[in-house]
Parts: sequence; structure tokens; C-alpha cells
Amino acid sequence: MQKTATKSSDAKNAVRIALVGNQNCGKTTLYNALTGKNRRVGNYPGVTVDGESSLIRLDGGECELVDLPGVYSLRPYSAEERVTREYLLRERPDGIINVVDATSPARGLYLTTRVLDLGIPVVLALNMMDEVKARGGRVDVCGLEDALGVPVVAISASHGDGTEEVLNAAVKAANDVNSGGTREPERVGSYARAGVYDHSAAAAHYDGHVRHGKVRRGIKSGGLNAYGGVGADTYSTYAEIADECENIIYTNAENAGLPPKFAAMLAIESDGEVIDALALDKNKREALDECVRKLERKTGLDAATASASARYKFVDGICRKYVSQMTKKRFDLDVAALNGALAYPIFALVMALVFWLTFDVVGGRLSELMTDACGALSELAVHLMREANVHPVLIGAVADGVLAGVGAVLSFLPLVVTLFLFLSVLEDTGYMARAAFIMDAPLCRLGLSGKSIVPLLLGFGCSVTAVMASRTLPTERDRRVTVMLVPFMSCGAKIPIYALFASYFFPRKSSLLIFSIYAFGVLLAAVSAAVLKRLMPGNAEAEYVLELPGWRAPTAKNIMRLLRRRAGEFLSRAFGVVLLASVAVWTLSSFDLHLRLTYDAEQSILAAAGRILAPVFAPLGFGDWRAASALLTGLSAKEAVIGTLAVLTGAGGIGSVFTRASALSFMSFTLLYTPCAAAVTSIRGELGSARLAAAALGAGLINAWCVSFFVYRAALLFL
Amino acid sequence: MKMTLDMLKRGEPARVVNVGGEGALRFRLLDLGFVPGTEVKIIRRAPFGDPIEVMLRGYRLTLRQKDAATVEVIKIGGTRGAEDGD
Repeated sequence: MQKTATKSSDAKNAVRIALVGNQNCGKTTLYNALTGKNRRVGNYPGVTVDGESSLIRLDGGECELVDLPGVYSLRPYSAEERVTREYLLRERPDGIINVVDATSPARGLYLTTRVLDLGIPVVLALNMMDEVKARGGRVDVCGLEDALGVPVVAISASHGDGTEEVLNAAVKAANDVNSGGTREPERVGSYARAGVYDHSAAAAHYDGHVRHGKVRRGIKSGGLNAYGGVGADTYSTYAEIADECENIIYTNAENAGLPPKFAAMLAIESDGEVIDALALDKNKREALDECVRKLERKTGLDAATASASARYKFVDGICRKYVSQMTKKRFDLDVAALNGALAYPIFALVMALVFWLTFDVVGGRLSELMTDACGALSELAVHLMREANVHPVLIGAVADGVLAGVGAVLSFLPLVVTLFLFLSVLEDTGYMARAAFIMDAPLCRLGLSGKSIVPLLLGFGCSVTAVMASRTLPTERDRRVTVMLVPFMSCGAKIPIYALFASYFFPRKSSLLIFSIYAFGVLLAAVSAAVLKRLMPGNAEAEYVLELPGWRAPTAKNIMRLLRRRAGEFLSRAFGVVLLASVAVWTLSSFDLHLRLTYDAEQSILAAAGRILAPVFAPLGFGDWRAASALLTGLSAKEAVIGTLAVLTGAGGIGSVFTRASALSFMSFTLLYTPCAAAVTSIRGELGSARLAAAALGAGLINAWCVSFFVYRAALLFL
Repeated sequence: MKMTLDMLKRGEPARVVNVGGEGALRFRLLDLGFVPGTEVKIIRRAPFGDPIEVMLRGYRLTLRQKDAATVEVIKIGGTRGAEDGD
């Protein structure tokens, strides 16, 4: 987690506030609004895949705001949900902003009841209130405040309404407790003194957060309107027994550093981790078991069901009392997007449209403009340097090294940004979740879950993001297989390579060719998935339970933020890795083995090194040292491949190194060979095993060679 | 006869009676609001019939048939839909 890495001396004095909420409830939008930072926000459950934090200056000091992955309870289900629980328990933030989607508050408030168990000051942020109002709904904020005993602020994170208020309220709540005030008696360690739990009333469980008795009536009258088939007193029974359990395990919980109430609740639901941490002796263990048996006997439900039922009863009571239903329906495209006959054609059309617009219409045109601009700028620079009598070697280094390399990469910036724009629109509108829904059945055949579609589609943007997104998958096997398939999804950094080769060798069919390369990658991914299904059968089948968020119009603000961020990343790469690689390549290609300046690149150090490697690629049609060198530099970043080729081929262009057939083979090889260093690192991290990562990458390299070999041979026959 | 969520017809309102199954998935379904008494109905099925989209507690959830089969339900009369009618 970034938090621990960036913990500075500043951060120690800052008030730490964590954002907790369901997936897709707007936590990250709120985080962005408060920090002005460009986190990725999508309309797909589970975009925040790791905690992230930043320091915010406030009037009275500093605040460290932490964005945590979305959860539905504090019982972890997927790897990313574990991050949230671990953070809340181990790092214990000073305060929590609990974000609840006001358009469907019940599920969010259920999480609230769990968050309150932690004994950390909570402020409730009721998000998307603009949509609730627009659809004719209403929420009684004061009533909700009374019922929950915590401050509630109605906000609209996407419009920035109420965001400052909610942060201020959270900081205030945290400071009130830290300054020794007794206004929040639920703080760990102060239970006994505050004496809150002495009374045995039905709502005792929630009393820690309720300061006035009047509130309990509200809870009871709503919560106890029993549904058919369930004992009317599930809620009060649960509260009573939970209280009893808390007394039993209180000291153990304190010793284990767990919030007692939280520990008691999870012990009742037999959460293995918590029970182990509590290290109960035999008597306490038996007392606890007796409590659970009593709960089950009295409610007629098993402990887990009783626990969830009781909490939902409480929540339903609150909702019935303080939330009036929305009358207007939400804008809905599902009739078409999920229609039995239309769903797949629409999916195919959407993907085709994205690629066509990116490579042909929008990104393609812009890239041409950019190429011209870069060319003109570079000529101007050379002209100016000549005028200023700069040493010819230096002019060479700047013009043929830096400008050629960086310029070649820069001209593809519009393509990459355009692709990211479309991917983010798909995510923001909620289409990605629909894609997961309709792709589940086909992906299930390949041993994957519909959820894998999101990391895989994101792989067209950036492998690193995609690999991170695989953490939303619930099982280890799903995660591993998905991570191994991500490299087949051709990433944005490879676009310049295809674009250059396709427009040079196949100018009239370049868009079609690029689309075919992507399709080829997907096809190979499917084949690999089928193979992996055999190799890694896994005892548990891939799981699929996913919320379907409402359709939302993407906001220009969100998209501009994302584009600025992506463009920034691309530029920093162009001026970082690619610049260094270009200068290095120029230097290595301008000096010979005796370190003398040479104008014949064939005599250079790089040529010598490239020639060692080149024979490996000879059967693939590009046994030229320049191609080998370009592929080598591509290991640092794929953008560097064409930067290197531009420097090495100079005025002759890639036509001097490749033929049409070997161009196809080279494109296949770049599609499939080892991804960039950053992606390799994250793949290694997510697979959690160096051996597995090495095996996957090694297999990838062999696969790349074999496929390119066949592509080359086939191309020789047909071209 | 025991009726489960996956057996409902599209749009047919029902109430949850019990969540069977086991392990993490069971906890997840409970946390998502499948508790006894909750109104639920099927909105649609994916093109291959699986997974299914259901509405409960004012939001929509997608899950596979075999997982939906762990949720025991009872049909309720009338034509009123699940809670929100969203």
C-alpha cells in the first residue's frame, strides 16, 4: 500500500481519515474531489484496487486521506477487500468517512452497522443526493443522524457539493476523540468508563453510537416490523447476545488489538481469523459457543443469517422511516444492451467502433498532425543549433538521438490517449459491467469468470493497470489465469509500433491490419486460456457475483482528469525511459568498440551486440542487428522500440531493415514477447511466485518466436 | 416443493426464505442483502440463460444460476415488483 511507503514526518501528525464504502458508491470520486488528484474512477464495481492516500492541508493542521477498496462487509471476499479490513484493523485510522450511495441506501447502511463496530469515529457521507432529488426521492438527514448517532452529510461527489463539509466533520469527530473528549464513548478502551453497555435494552448493540434514548424507539418501530417467517425479535435477540459475547471476549480482544465489538460480531459468525487471534481459553470458548447456540435457538436461524438479518432489519427500519422512495426511473439502456439477440452484436460493434475511431478517425488524424509538428520542430531545432555553431557531434546526438527517438514516440500520443478515452467512457457509463454479464457464459467455458473481462479489456490500455484490476477477482486461480492472459491484450504502448509498420508497409489497409493484430491477440488468449484450464484445473470454479450499476453519463471532469493523467504518464515515459534509451542507442550506435566516433553504424558497439542476438531472429525474417536492438530496448518500455528504430534506421526508414513479410512477423513478435519491465514486475507481484512468473514469461517468449515463425512463413507464401 | 431463486420466472416477485450453500459465497449473499423476508425478482437472464440479473433492496445484482439455486424463495401474490421497481 502506498500509505506505508510515503509515510513522512508530516503524515505522523496528520489526522488520518479513511474512506470506506461499497464498491461503486463514489468513494474515489469523493477522494478526487477532495484531493484534486487523478485517481481512476469508473462505473464498475471495484476500481480502487489498492489503498492510496494523500495529505490535505486544512485550517487547523493536516489530514491524511486514505481511499480504500470498496467492500460490502468487513469479512473479506476478494484480495482487494482484504486490504480494507487489514488497514482498518492494523492501522486504525483516526476517523472514517463512510460513503453510502443514497440511490440504494440499504446495502450501504448495512456496511455502516459493521463499520460502527470498529469503534472509530464515523461520519456518514450520503452520496449521489443530486440523483436522488432529480428522481423525486428524499432523505431525512437529521433523522438518519439521530438513528445512527453519527454525523450525516448529504453530498454529491461528482459535482463537489458537500465534500468539504464531510471532510471537516470527519476531522472534527476524529479530533474530538483524540483530544480526550468523551463525546464518542465507543472509542476502544473507554467502554467501561462511559458505562454505555450497562443497560440491557434491545438496541444495546447500537447504543455506543446513540446518545439519546429517543432514537431507540425509531429503531424498534421500524426494525421490528417483522417479515413473514422470521421471529419478530431477531434484532433484539441478536443485540442482546452480541453484547453478552462482547463481555466474554473483551479482554482477549484488547490483548489481540482488535476492537471488542467487532471481534465479538465476527466470532459469532465464526470468522476463523478473528477466533484464532482472540486465543480464547476453553471456558470462554464454551461460553461463546453457548451464546451462538442460544442465538440460533431463539431466532431459528443459523448465526450468520441471524446476524445479517438483524442488521438488515435495523437498516430497513431506518430506511422506511427516513428515506422516501424515488419515483422516477433511471435512464436505462439495458433493454438493448442486454437483449438476448442484440447483446453480442452490440458488444462487437462497440469494440469495433472503439478501435476504428481510435486508429482511423480521431487518433489517426491527430497523430498525423503530431508527426508533422514534431518533424517541423526538430528541423527548427537543428537549424537553430547550426546557426549557433554547436559542435556537429552534439547536433547529431540531439537530432538523431533525442529528437528522432522522442519525436517518433510523441507523435503517437493522440492514439494512446484516444484509446484510453474510449475505454474510460465504457467504464464510466457502466457498459463494462454489462460486458462482464454477457461475457460470463463464454468465459466460463474457458475456465474464467465474466469479471475477468474488465482486466482483459483494460489490458488494451495498459498491462500494469490490467494486472492490478485482476485483484477484484475472488479466487486465486481466476486471478492467476487472468494475469497470465493480460499480456495477450496488446497494450497502448505497442500502438506506435503497429501504426508505424502498418502505415509504412500496408498504407491502404493499415486500420484493418491493426484490428487484426488485436483480434489475433484475443484469439491466442482464448487458446491459452483453454490450455491453462487443463494445466491449472483448480478445485473451485470461477465465481461470479457482481452488482450492475445504473447507467450514468460520463462527466467531462472525470474524463479530462483521466486524460490529463494518461497523457502525463505517456509524456513522462517519452521524456524519461525513451529519451534515455534514445540517447543510449545513439551513443552505442555512434561509437565503435574502440570508443571512437564512427559514422558507420555497422561498426558500432550496438551493432556488435545486436549481431550476437540477431541470428535468433533470422528464421523470423528480421535477423538484422537493428531489429534485435529495438526489441531489447523494448524490454524497458514498448515505446522505446520505435524510438530505437528511428535512431538506427535514420533517413532510410524501416524499409531498409524490413520487408512486408518480416514486418508482419515483427509485429506478431512485439504483440507476444515479454511485456515491459513495469508490467513484468506487477505480474510477478500478482502471481506471488517468481517461478510461476518466469514460467509464464518464458512460455510467452517461446510462443512469440513460434507464432512469428509461422506468420513469416505464411506471409512469404501469400505476399 | 422447495423453490429457489433461479427457478423464478422473469418479473415474478418472491421473498427469500433461506440462503443455503456454504463458505465465502454464502456470507457474500447474506451481506448483499439476501436475508429471510427480502423481496427479490428476476429482471432478465443473460443471452445464454446464465448468469441472471435480479433486483433486491433497490439495486440490481448479477449472479450465476447455480449460485442463485442456493437461495430458497417463496413466491408472493400480487403484481407489485421488488422494492424499488427501478
